[in-house]
Amino acid sequence: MELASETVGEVTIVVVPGDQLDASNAKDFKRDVAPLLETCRHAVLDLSALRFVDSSGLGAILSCSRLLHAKGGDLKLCAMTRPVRALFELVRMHKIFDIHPTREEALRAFYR
Amino acid sequence: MGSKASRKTRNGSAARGVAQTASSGGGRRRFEPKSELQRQLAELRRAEEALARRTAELEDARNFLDSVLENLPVMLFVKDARDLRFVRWNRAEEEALGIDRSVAIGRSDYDFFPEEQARFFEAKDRAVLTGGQLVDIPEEAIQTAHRGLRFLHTIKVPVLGADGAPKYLVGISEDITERKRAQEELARAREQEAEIGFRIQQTLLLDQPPGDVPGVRVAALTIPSQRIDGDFYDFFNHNDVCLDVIVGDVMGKGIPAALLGAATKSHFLQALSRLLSLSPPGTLPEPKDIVTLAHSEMVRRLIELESFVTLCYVRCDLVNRRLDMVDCGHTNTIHFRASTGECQLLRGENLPLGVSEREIHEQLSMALEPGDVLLLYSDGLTETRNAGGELFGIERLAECVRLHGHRDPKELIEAIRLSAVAYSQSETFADDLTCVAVRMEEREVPLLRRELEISSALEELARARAFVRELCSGLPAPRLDERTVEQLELAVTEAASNIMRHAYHGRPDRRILLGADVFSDRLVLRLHHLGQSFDPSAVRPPAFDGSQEGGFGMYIITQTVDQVRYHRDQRGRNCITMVKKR
Repeated sequence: MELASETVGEVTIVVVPGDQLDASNAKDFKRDVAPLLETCRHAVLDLSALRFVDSSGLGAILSCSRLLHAKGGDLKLCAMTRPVRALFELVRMHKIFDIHPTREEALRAFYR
Repeated sequence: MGSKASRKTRNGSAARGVAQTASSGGGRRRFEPKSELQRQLAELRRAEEALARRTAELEDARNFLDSVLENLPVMLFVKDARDLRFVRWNRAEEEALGIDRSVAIGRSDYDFFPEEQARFFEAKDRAVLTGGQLVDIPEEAIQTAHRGLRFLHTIKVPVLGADGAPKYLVGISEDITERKRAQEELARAREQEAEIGFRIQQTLLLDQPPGDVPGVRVAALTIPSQRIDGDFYDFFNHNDVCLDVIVGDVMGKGIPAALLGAATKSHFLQALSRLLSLSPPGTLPEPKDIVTLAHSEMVRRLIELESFVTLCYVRCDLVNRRLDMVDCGHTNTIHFRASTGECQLLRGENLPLGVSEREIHEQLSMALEPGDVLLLYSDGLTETRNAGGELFGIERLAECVRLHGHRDPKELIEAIRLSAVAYSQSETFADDLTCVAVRMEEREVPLLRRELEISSALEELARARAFVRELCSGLPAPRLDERTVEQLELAVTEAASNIMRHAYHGRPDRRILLGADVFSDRLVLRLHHLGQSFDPSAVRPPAFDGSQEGGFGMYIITQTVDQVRYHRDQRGRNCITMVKKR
């Protein structure tokens, strides 16, 4: 899966492509995002394109967060659409993740 | 040895005394004193002889006792009460424990048993000595030198001295290792038989009641007893037009009864399919013909086995609202009539299966109305006894149905179970408790029906969602709001993904049939598949603390729809049915 990313200081911003992250592509995403997270300390996942996430997609996002936490880094999410937000709330993951309306706010949150 | 030595010494000194007297003899004058001395000597000699005899007698007795103790077939030891060191150790003890007396005598348990065991023995010894009474130890483990771990039944007795204080402790033991093993073996075999019987019952005898037949609701209860009874039931759904229910009870218990129950079920299935193939399209064979054919196939075998089966074959015609019933000596079926709120007992005249080779079966027919309930059960239920030995009985059962007949069959059955438990004051029963409740419902026709077949490749999940979205957009009013549609998309994705990844183990070339029925008040989504069934109760709730990446699927389903069921459909496929209220 093609992943667009950009790095601002210690933070890598990854745009999750496509409008769905479900069991059909969650594995690919996990595999392809891992090298990007290897090289940075912190990351922001830009979810603005996503209209649908299922439990497998959620698992993939959780794995990103665990990967960064393991080396002392952090993950923030931004630009979550309403249906995706609904899923996060359903399984109470909105309390686990640091979620911001925009990329800039997510970035700023690292330097607060 | 000590006593022998002292006896010799005394004999020796006595002899010397005589010799002395002889050598100093001669003078008459000293006759009197001499004779006095002689008298005394003679007396002494007599006393010595008596002592020698007594000593010899004592030694004989001791030898006799020694030989008895030595040859006792049970293990015997004696310990000194002061320091608990062994002072006696018989041959059986030597043989059983592999410890020679030369090693044992003068030593204590700590010298040759593991510390934990020695401590146990010592504690028991002290209890015997302080209590001054016999102590029976039904089972104690002992590490032997040559035969591994053995188990003994031991009795310990204190022996008191003249002063009343304990002087010795006598222990007598019997090796019960073999007996214990045999008993354990037997218990294991019994347990295994119960386990096999239980498995036969769960897999062959009892089916899941159908959950998706429109116009009827079915619930079943089975509480297996310690020994399987051979109770069985079965359901045949004829294209949602008729539902056949069979409830049977094989005479006898255990694996033979369970197997016979399974064989009976298979005969009925065979008879049904044979007659179905001979019936003109669109018609069904009569229950009485199915029973007569199945019976004719198995009656000889049953007679040979000296067994019989009581059975009730019930057909609920869901379209014409009619009941056909063939009762073969089974417990009376209870018919709850919604219109009167009363129960009627239904009973046929046929003999149990396996009684007469020439039995022609008769059937009863009557009207069934929406709200009517049929309760079929085994006699394990009505023959449940209370503490006073009285039977639960059919009247009590019928009363229970009368009180709870208006409720959902599942609740009715739970009420019956609770009533039987309260009556017998026990959660376990001597016989299997089997019971099936069938309730006629108003038959509803869906406003809209859609189907889509997808493959089990994960890429198809998007199509499953599109199917749901399209269905929702084409609904007759009222329309569903966007959030509800999204929840249904999520539910269908999680259910289908579970089937693809778990039921089909990731094989992409299998089929999943999506079905949707729309009713005025609800939407029903079904996913039929031929993969492995899964047990929702075995799934643990997810972790909400971010510590786990998976395990959310089932939880998401339960949170996004109003009802979800995992069951078998009428064609034997596994089915996930989800209901969302409108």
